[in-house]
Amino acid sequence: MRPAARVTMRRLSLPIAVSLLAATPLTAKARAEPGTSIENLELKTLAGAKERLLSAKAKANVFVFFRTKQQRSIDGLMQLAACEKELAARSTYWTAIVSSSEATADVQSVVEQTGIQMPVLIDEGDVLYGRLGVRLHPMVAIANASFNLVALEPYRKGDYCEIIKMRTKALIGEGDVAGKGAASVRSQSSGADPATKAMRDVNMARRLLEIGQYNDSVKFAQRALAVAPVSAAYTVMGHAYAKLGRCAESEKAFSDALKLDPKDPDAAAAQGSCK
Amino acid sequence: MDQPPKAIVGAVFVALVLVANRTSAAPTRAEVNTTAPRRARLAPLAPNDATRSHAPYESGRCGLCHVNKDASKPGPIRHASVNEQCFECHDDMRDVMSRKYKHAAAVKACTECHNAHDSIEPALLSGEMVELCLSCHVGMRRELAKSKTRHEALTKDRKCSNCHNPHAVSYDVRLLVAEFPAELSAPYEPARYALCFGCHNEKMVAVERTTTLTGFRAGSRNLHYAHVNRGRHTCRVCHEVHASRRDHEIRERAPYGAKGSTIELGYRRLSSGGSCAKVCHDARKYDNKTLTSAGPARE
Repeated sequence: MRPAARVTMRRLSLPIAVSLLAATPLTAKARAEPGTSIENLELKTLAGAKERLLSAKAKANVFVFFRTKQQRSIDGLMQLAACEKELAARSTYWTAIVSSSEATADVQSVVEQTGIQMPVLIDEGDVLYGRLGVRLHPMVAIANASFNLVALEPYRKGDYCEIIKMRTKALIGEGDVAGKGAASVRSQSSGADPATKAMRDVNMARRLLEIGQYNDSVKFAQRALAVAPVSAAYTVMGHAYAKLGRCAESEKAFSDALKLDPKDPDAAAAQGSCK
Repeated sequence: MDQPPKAIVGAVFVALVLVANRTSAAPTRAEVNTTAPRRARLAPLAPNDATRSHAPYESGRCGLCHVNKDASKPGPIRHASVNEQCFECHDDMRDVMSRKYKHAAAVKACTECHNAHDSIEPALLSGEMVELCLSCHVGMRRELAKSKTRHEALTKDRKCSNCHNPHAVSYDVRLLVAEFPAELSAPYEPARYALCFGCHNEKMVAVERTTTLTGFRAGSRNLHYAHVNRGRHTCRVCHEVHASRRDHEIRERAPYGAKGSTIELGYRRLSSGGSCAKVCHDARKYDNKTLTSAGPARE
């Protein structure tokens, strides 16, 4: 090519190199549909043994795809650990699936961090992942005793365990038809962490204290403590009890506040003031 | 006289197509109707209709927020602004709303989206989240109405707030909850795709060869790797992030340049993969059913 032509090409290539072409991403269509027959593969475990993916003895087979170094996988497995424990006595079989490309130490760290008891199976070359069109992590697959897929549930913040429990119970004959109640469960999720939620109740308790509703103030402080152990709840409670003349309870509340936060200046200053 | 090289002829042709197809900047999907009638209702729902209540309302302590304690005549709220009233208890939200990029509705009043008394929706939203968002985001409503496929993140779990913070964020005018490149071309760094890889598997873009991680491959040659990783094109060049009339949420028209121009991509889904029109390169199709290591075939 002549130099001039090369320059022209270079100039033209920039605006032309606009886009890529197609892509086959991660839509639901790529994902295995309920009813899909699942091959009961024998996979290597993290411990080096071999284990089947599914059990014909269990009415519900639950296996979760996860990856390391992903917060949603950690959060999801933490929820599923609780779920697994709760359904341990039921006819269920749980396994966790991880790619063979993940480092063993990283996988072990996730297992320890999340507290899952289920065996971790290694998906060599992501074969199972590919067959089911998983694409997202974490993803729970639920299959019946005949090894037919019943559901693939991508992660949902806050209520993942509830959804998996509902589907699993439906499969073992303890709940409603699979998935019917899932929508209602989904709507239960709430964003704030427990400490933040508790502080909202503490702030309400403070306001009630300000307007002289001392008994109500105590109630909201107690409500806060039922959500999370925040020292400020005890402090407000101490002030409310003091206003009610209940000095022993007031002292105990300030003392509890200081146990949780020895540097709480309000509790420290108020201690011993109720007479 | 020498004939010009075929490549130049092709490039000029494509450039002409680009000019001919140039469209106005920022399609109307970004349109927001700030004067839309407020969907949020402030009054409590009928008895037994609500499934969740705001603690002060539920406990009958109207005086926490209103000037009067009397439920039959609560009067106005105690603070001059709705948000100041809310921050009295929700002081964590005061911190959130001090971030640089704020949702205009949240700045205006919490009650633009939340019912301060009770609701049937999570977080006391005054309506179903997507409907609530679309009541102002009318451009997006139009976009979704004509779409065939929707990003699952839009319909599941936390819906719009899977990706957007409806209150405020520190670092992104789009109110995204994690990083996602705004530009069309960028060196591939996984951290820059934190929003996508929060759910999607980064290996889909990281590995050059696969037969399992993506369907966008020619044999075992991973075309996501070829485009996004090696080719430095960002996801949004090809994909709509909300919804599309094409399969796999592929764009009908790809953006290019700095002025919001677009060009037809011409993606077609095929039984063995897919194909694209002659735009960035020659028309090509990929076959993910036949396991060869060949690249996409020219049509």
